[in-house]
Amino acid sequence: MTLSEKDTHGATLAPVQDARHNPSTKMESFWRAARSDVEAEGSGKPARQSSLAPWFWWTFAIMAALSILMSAAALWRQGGIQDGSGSLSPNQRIASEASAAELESLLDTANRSAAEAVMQQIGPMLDAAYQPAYDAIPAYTDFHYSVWGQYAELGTALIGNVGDKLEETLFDDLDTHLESVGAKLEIVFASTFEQELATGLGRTIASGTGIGPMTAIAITDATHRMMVTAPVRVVAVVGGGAIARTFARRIAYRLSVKAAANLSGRWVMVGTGASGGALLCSWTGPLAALCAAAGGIGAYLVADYGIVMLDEYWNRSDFEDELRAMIDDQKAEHRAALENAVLARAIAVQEEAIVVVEQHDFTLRELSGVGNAAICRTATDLVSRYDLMRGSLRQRNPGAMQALRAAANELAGDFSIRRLAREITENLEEADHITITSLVIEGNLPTDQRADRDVSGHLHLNDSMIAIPRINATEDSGFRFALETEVVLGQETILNYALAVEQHLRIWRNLYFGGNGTVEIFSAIDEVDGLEPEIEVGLRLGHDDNTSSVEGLSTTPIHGAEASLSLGLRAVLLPELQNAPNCP
Amino acid sequence: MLSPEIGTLASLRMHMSRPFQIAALATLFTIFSLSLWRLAFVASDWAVLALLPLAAVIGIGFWPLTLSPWKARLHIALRPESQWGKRLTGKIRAMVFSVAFTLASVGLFAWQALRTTAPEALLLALIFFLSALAYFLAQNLLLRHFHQPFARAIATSLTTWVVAIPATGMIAWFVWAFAPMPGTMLDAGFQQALQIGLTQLPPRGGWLSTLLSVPFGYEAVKLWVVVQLQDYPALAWLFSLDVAFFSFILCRTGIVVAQFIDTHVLHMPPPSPLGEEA
Repeated sequence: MTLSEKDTHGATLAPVQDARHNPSTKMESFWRAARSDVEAEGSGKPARQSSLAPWFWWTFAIMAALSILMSAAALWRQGGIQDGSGSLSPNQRIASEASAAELESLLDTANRSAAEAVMQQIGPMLDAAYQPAYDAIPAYTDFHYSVWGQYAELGTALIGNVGDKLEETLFDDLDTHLESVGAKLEIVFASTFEQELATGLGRTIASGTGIGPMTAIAITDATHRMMVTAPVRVVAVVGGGAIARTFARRIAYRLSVKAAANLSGRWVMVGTGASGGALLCSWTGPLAALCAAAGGIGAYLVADYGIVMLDEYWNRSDFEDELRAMIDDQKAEHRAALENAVLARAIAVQEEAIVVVEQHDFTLRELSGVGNAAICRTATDLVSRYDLMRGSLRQRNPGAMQALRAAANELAGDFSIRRLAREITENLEEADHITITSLVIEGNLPTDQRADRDVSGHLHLNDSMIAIPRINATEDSGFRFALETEVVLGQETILNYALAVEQHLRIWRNLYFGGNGTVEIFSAIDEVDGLEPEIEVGLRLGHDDNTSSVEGLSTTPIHGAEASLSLGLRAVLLPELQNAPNCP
Repeated sequence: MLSPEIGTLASLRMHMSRPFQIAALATLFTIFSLSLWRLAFVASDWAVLALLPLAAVIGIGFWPLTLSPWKARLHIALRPESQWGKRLTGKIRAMVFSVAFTLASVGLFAWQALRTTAPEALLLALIFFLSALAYFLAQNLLLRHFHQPFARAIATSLTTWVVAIPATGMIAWFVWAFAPMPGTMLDAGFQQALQIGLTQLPPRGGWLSTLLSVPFGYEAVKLWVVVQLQDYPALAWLFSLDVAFFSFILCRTGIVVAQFIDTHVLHMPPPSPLGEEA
């Protein structure tokens, strides 16, 4: 039966007559056997079953098994790297590039882990560095509570070598130990950073893969920058000598106080000793005076010794506690300095990592005009709003500031523009601080109380109080106070002011006048541009006859004379933005 | 014993799932071959062995797609008494085209397998699967209207264009929007750009690395040109399109591999359109 073309998937060709007479080569017969789309040559038999199926299935199974096995082997080797038990040569890893986001996360995690590891080490290391000082406290205390020791401490204080003995006894190797602490902290930071990077790379990259060359370059670059950025070991800490001098001054002061307090007793003993000596030494004839003097000195020393013994008996533990407390305080200062240094280092490393990440990769979208146009529009909007505020206090009203901050915060996660957003956020921290730099208060007292008499007083601006010096006021022109101030309003935009004036009369008791008001700064600035505008507000000065001092004055009169208050304002000039993207 | 209607329905159902099976098998076969190649390449040039099965499948599958239509046309064109039929068998032509296509497709696949990211690989695998599936659906439809081998030839060409054109756009957009380019390219000179491209090859050297340095270097130079002319955004799109033309090869290869599996692995008589058995 002839098969239809649908059955054979073959051409409905008549058998090629010549083919029956041509000898088949091995290849031709192979191909004929492999093809099912050619009818059997005139035989009417169905096409032979393909012999390639077994080969295909075996190949498929082998490739699948090998792929799975090799992936598992790579996973196992990767696990060996994390355990430190194995190594993976570059030739055995599949290159896989980490994205910028992955790289940033890796570096950030490594940085945080390194900073935390160092923070945990600071305390124990400082304890070890200061332990010799604690251990030497009893020895120094023995020296302190000795006659010779006390005279030595006073003597060194007099000649200026304060603290030599302290430094020698308590802080002999402290400088060396502190340097060692700094160096060890550096090692901890660097090793933790690199270890966390290696661990993170093992977790992030898919099994059976290593890191691509670009990622490797970025990691190496970041590690190198980390090594040289803001090292902890160079943080300025107070050395042992300076510490000793500080301690010694305090101890010497105590000694001098004690010495003065006990001086009378000592002289009593000297007198007793001298007289006793004179009596005992009377037989020496001409040398009796010397003998008496020696007796007096001896008595003085005996008195000193007794005083020192008593002092030690009563105060030794307190003295040791005080020494320990001073060392504790110093250690705490060192700790704070080192912790700040570590934080500064972590921040500096983070900044360097940002640079590395931004150089790591980009997309064509970011490079081309289409993607960049959106970024550029956003950046241009931010920059223009910021530039408006840069040189004009009027533009820094709370609504605009809040809107710009919110926009910058929203873009903090956008890879292309976040540096600009972050810079704007940082620069705006000082933007809404307003300082009142000058005051001019002009006015006159109520008509009934006007006189050619001096006036003084004070002005309250929110929580600040400014004293107004005494000046001359006339009945006709009134008074004019002009003051320079540095009152910082902070982020407040509402200014509450209250003026209290005291009129100094010659015969009668002084009279007191007060007035107050409230102004919204930005409403008062109105259309004035620049960073140093002036605003003028008014108030009424009313007489308060229920008070006898300017402090108890009521500043809420119902009636009164007009006065004006001119305030000179100043705002900080915002720095120019450095991280705006390059846009046409 | 099943009634003829139920048997016909079962047969139809089985034959409807067959294109999915073949497309899936073709995709998996190609994925395993290329993943084995990628895993082994970093260690040794013997990794090329992983590509041989794929090359064989492509070559064997491409052969009838080229030869059968030629023979059909020759049969129509030649007179029965002509002696030229002994010479104009079309085998040399089919051999040349098969070898050329096999080398081009396997070479492109091998290169892309080394540099593709996981999301991009997923996209390419999906396109491969869809092209294989669409081929069978198209052939089943065209068999009702065309004789073989023309139904197959038209299905091949039609599927390639229908799948590859949107796939080209998808790949072009994906590369343009998401494919990471080394940041060091932004400031690199021409030679430095070449070096950056070649650093993607393993440092061990070898003849395969020498061969592959050509496409990697070409890619790096192309990116360098785009970076230098970044003020002309259209060039960035051309870069992506250049990469995405690979999708045409991808679709045709999917059809070829599926054709091979259909003919030599899962061969079975297809149902007649009316469910009648031969």
